[in-house]
Amino acid sequence: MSGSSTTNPTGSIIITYAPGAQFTSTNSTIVVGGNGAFLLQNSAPLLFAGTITFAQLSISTVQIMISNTSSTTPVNGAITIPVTVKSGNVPTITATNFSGAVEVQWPTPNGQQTQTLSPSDTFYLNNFGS
Amino acid sequence: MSANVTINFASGSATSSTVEVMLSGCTISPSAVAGASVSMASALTNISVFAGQVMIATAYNAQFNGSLTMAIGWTSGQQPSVTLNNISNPSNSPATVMWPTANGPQIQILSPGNPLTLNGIVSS
Repeated sequence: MSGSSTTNPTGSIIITYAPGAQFTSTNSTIVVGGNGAFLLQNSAPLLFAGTITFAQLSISTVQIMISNTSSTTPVNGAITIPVTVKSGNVPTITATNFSGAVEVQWPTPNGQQTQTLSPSDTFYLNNFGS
Repeated sequence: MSANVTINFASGSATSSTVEVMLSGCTISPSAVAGASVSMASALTNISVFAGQVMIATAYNAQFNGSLTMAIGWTSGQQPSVTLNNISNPSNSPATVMWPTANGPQIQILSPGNPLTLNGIVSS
């Protein structure tokens, strides 16, 4: 027999908004790129915990849009996002229209990685996957 | 097979700290352009979106006015259904659910705790 199979890495990204953070527009987005996609499962939900205020929320495989009526909305909590990526690719995360201290955490084979997230910067989730 | 299903909340009150929408015979199946969309008159702060369930954390007795649209997927032969839990109003009709059929959109009252089969649902 010959041949091999590849498994697409999966795991949950956690974006944490510290006290004092804000959404700075009526729309704030979180976009996944690099051949990554959000993956809804019954064992790993998309989760808003803490105070992630929204009047409207739209979710697709590549984007989460959080909408509010005010252009400044305090946010203090965590968004957990299950993600899968095609094998051999590095997923990216880009978050827009926020201020304050925000971190992104993702699983790697060597443990959880945590980095500071800046608005509109495309962030590479190197070595993604547990 | 896939279609958009919309629940319109009509002034029901939460009877628990979590309002649930549960799916059977189908799952939320996001695409690049649609997946799940929530719009509420009063802002929310906590939500969990599973493949087969949406849980909205809320204050007890909070009013629900707005909508939840889900792009669902199912396989031929399955019979999608939806159940709304932990919300009520005096007329026992705190929400309606709308889904596409061959004869146009179908709208039915969604009574709390009662699974509603989306009869005749077709891909949209």
